[in-house]
Amino acid sequence: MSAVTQEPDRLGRENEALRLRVAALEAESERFRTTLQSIGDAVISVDTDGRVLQMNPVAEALTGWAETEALGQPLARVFRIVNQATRAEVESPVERVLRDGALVGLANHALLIAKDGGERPIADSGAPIRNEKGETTGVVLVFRDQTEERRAERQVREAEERFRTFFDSAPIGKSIAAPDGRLLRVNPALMAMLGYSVGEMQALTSVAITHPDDLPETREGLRSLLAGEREIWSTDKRYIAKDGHVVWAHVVARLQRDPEGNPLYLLTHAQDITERKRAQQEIESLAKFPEENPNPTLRMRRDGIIIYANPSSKYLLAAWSCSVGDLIPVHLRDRLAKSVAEQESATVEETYNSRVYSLSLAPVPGTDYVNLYGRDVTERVRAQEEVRTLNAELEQRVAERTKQLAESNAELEAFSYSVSHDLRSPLRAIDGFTRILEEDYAPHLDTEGRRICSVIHDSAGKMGQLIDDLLAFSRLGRVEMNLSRVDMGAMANAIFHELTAPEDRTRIDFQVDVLPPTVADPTLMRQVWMNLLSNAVKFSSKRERAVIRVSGQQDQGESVYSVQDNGAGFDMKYVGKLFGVFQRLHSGKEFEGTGVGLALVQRVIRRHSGRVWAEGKPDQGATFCFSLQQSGV
Amino acid sequence: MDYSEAVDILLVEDNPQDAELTIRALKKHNLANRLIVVEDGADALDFIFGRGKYAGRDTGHPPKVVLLDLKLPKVSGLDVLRALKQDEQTRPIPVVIVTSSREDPDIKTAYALGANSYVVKPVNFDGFAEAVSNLGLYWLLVNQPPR
Repeated sequence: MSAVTQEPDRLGRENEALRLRVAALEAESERFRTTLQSIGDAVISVDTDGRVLQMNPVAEALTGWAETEALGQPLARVFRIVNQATRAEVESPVERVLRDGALVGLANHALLIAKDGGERPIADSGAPIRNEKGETTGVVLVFRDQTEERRAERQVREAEERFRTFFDSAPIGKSIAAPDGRLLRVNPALMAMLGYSVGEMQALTSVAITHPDDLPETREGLRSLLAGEREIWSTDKRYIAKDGHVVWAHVVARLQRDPEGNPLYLLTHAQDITERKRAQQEIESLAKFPEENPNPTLRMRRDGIIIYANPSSKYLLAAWSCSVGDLIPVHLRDRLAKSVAEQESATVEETYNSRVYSLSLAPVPGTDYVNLYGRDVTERVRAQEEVRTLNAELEQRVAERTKQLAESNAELEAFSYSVSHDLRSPLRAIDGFTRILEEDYAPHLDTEGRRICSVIHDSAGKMGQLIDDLLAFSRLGRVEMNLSRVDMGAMANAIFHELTAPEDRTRIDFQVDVLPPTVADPTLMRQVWMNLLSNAVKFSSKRERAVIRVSGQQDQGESVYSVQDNGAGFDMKYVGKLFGVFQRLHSGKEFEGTGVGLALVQRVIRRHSGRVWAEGKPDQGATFCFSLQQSGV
Repeated sequence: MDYSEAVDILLVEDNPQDAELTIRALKKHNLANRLIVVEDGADALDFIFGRGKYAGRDTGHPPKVVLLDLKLPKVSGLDVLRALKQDEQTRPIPVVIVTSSREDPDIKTAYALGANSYVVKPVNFDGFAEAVSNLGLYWLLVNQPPR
């Protein structure tokens, strides 16, 4: 019995061991199950045929399949997944694990289609199950609901997208820089503003693109931000664009720090204000315009209180002994009130010490002030006075000259009278006593004696004539002209008849064309015709058939008259002597005359503002012409 | 000549040659018988008004004509004329201005003062003689003085 009795002991011990082992296994299995049950991820295990062995409650919830339902079902029925984008069936991960024997991550964007048709994004992975011998006995599939994860992810992406859009499409320049100033990110507006590409900008620092003159301020701004002395730093500064031109920008910068307070990024906004700055500078420059005006420029209220005075007004203000805020002098206030009432500018001239100012008061319509524009006109006034003085002196001189002229005219007249009176008396005596000699002493005179007496007579007569002609010539310069309309043709005809006897007229062929009338002194004009016609008669007297032709024509505002004869003529060589006093081209033996006639003609015509000229050839006649202005005819 | 006698012609002429020629011309027509020559204006006035060396002369017989040169020493011809024409007694006496020149600026004044005639003495003796004799003939024989 001992063996037998021993056997149940062994059996019993073996049984006990087995029971303990099963118990241990059961405990393990229970622990595993509990673990599986409590795990946050969904877990499905399948056998090598791809049939569901086990699934935990999360897997039940996600697939919509109860474990009891799903047991033994092919995985593809329970775990249906499609590509989120293409909606194509995705290869079962189990198959790939079985085929490759390795751990497999599932394709992203996988959508799990639940039993009830609901879809949800999942992330999953599969791993082979191996026994002690290392043989694959199944696959465990672990997956997770990614709905929340994906939403969060999308939100981050959307936030990033919003930021990017906001950053890139902003119309003002924006940059994100490292605390040391390296530009990490720039927006297109900033690139456009400065003309750099992204790559170029990212190789630069905010200091490198700053105008040298603005560097100290920029550096100080950045330092104060980094030092935490301020949250935001803003300024108007200049950048240098890639092409070198200056860009004015209104810059706002702030430093972003991490929760521990370490500097992360420098965020900068830069608004291009170049145009605004230019306009501002222009306004400032214009505002300085009155300041720069060298003439006094002031603005007053209507009551006369000065509200503005430019620097050039200093002298005026001193003269008025007032300054901005004071009333202008009372007489100017009255003028200003009048100007305001009439809404019309007024100009007054004022003398302060030795300076003369022209002051223009100009009410500005639609405002309650009056502008005053001053101008120092001292020099002008001085010049005017000088001109006035010079004019007065000139008038004085003219008066003196006129008086002198009148005196010399009077003297000349007296002289003429003396000449005519006193030269004539002895001549008369010479002539008269020669006659007495001839009468009372005739018996004592022989032929030669009588010839000599006759020479004395002739000479005395000639001298008398000379005196008369000379006096007539001198009188011409002094006599007053009385202008009236003159019928030149009639005058020429009348004078020709006065000059000639009937027998002369049979010898002379006298032709008078139609002559243009003129306005002249008739007495003087008679002298002209008298002299020209008597010359023509005289110098053609040796012609058997004399021809004298008087003609006239109008030409460009003047009338030209001419007297042509076929007489002795003259040599053009001597034409210059023709019109001189006492100048004769013929001897007294040939033709009598004193040489005053043509000088007299010239004098008369010149007094009428006309011209005289002559043409001739020896022995072939002469033509004498004169012109008169037509005006007033 | 006896100054107390009536005088036909008073010749006021400072130039002796002119005076001689004038007298000669008048003589040819027997007009110079009762002629007196004075050489300046002062003498002329003395003669007419019976003053100075002519004091006591009968002024009741004035000359039939005065031939007056304008250019005279002392009292000028115009002054003589003015004096004669201002006095009622002497105003009727014809005064003929005899001058050398028609340029004489005093001719107008002379007429204004009441000169009765004006004669220019030509240089030429024949002309001169003719002018003077015509003058004498007219004023002595043709003209009827007021009674």
